[in-house]
Amino acid sequence: MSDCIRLDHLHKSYGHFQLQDISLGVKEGYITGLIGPNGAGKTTLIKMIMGMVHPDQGEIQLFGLDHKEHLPANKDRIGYVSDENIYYEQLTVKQMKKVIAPFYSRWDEDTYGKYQELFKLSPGKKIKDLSKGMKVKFSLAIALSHGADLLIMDEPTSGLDPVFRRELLDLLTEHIQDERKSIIFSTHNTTDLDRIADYIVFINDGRIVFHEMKEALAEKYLLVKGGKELLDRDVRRLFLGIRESAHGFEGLIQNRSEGERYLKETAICETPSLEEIMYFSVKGSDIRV
Amino acid sequence: MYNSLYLIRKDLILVQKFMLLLIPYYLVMGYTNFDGYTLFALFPAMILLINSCTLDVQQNNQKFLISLPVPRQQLVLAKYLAILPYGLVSLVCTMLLYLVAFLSGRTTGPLAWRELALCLAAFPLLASFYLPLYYWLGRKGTQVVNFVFIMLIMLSVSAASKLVEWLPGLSHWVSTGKTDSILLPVIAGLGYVLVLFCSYLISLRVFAAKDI
Amino acid sequence: MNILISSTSGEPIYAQIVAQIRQLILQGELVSGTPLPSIRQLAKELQISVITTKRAYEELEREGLINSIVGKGSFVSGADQEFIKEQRLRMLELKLKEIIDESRMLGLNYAELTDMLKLLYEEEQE
Repeated sequence: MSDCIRLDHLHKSYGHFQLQDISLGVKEGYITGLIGPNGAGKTTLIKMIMGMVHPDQGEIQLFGLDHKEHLPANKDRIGYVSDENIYYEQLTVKQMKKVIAPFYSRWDEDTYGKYQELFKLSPGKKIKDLSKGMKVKFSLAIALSHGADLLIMDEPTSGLDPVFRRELLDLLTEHIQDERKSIIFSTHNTTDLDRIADYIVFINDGRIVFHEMKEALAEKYLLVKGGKELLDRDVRRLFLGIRESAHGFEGLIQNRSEGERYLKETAICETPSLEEIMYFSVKGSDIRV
Repeated sequence: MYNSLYLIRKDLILVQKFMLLLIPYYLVMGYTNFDGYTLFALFPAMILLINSCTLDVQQNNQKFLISLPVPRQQLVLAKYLAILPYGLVSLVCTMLLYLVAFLSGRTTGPLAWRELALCLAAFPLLASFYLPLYYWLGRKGTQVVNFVFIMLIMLSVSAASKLVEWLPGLSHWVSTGKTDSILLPVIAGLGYVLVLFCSYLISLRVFAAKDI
Repeated sequence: MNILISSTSGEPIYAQIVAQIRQLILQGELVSGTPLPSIRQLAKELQISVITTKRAYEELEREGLINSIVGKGSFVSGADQEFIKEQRLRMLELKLKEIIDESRMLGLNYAELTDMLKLLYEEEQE
């Protein structure tokens, strides 16, 4: 199983913001979700993969090829959905498609036609007159119409209604029916796409907090709820982050088996959701700062 | 190579609407100020270039361009190559203007093609100052650069006639088509190409290093 | 083949898939040799991750209920009836254990429980 994206010790300073020592291998054939709060560095990371932002240090490899040398050829194999509209607003859907199509060596007009119909995109409409959701759909139609081996989507679900979000799951799982195709998407809304994600990369404050198989997360983390009297100094040390209220506490433990050993009898132990893992990790890192 | 052509086509699609407005405006303006009609030749080409550049940075369109499987070098090259079609538009516009003026009896003389050639030649030169600034200053600076260059074009009409006066050899050529020496035009020509080439290298360097 | 996934039950999704496919095989609804959908296909249909589905299939393979052949996919294994019966008996035992636990909590003794079982058994037969 090879990596379709390899990031090797990437650094980037951006005024007051820093991405620090990002090393990551995105598995070919799977869906990887890049999660993290707003401003964590998700978009910057994606921009580096797209060659829009140059890393200060570090190496990027795509499809096993050095990114600097093979950037155009690599991008020919990428379907990119930006977090904002990047198309010319004054052009119509049809004109814009006409502008884009010739740049891709594997552009497939029939596939595009299929998605245009599926998404109910009217060719004569100007990009600026499309709703936010429609703009995302247009972007998706383009990304899916040139035989891309890798889909890179930056916050694709913002602006999409719940119905289409579900349909998107179908489109994406359809895409990776071919085992050589991969998807990476970013989101700050963890209930969105993570049900189909195989791997989760959690990034906070410019650093990778973890990169795990989603399947393994449930066995690693433990959510504990209980009375505050349980929280002595030793117990506190187990927690990654704790939220205390007048009626008790709720906290996340990274070492599930250890947590269960200490607290199974006295507190409620649950499997945390991705959102809970994200919340307590961010909260915990805030406290330590 | 095809990529550059597709990029130029993209620019032409983008400016085509603007062109439909620009050409009648130009014809009316040129007709009413017919005395210096050849000098106006600079106007459509430069405006089209500025327009196409501005449209690329208006929203997040540079992000779009970079997302394409095209090296940045070709994005820059295409902008320089687009000088040709814009120049052509200018040439056609000026010929049209002359034709209208000739047919309506506004002028009886022949087309001042040497003056016209000189003006059209000034366009790439102007563009080679505009483009590096455009790439350097990016989205925010473009508006300022645009303003300055539009002012420059306005002034260029009088400036150009002054220039011709200052350079007797040039004015001699414009009026008679004869040159005293071969060397001078050759040096001027080489300098001209050098300026264009350096401009391209600077733009490329600036844009290649940029984070979008 | 019906597989229904609950995202609120608290039971891991892979375990839900294993339980349901096991059930279908033991009940004889999926007979030996029946091809199962490919891992990616099932993941798509259930809108879950590929790795989750893969894990479920691996588990079923470990239990000897399915076979995976590279390049061909997964099939309900040709395990003999004896084996399947054994598996089913084990499941029955598990259920009985649950019943015993439940009756203990209700304070029923062994005699009371067997009486109840006898009664219900006879009712069914009529």
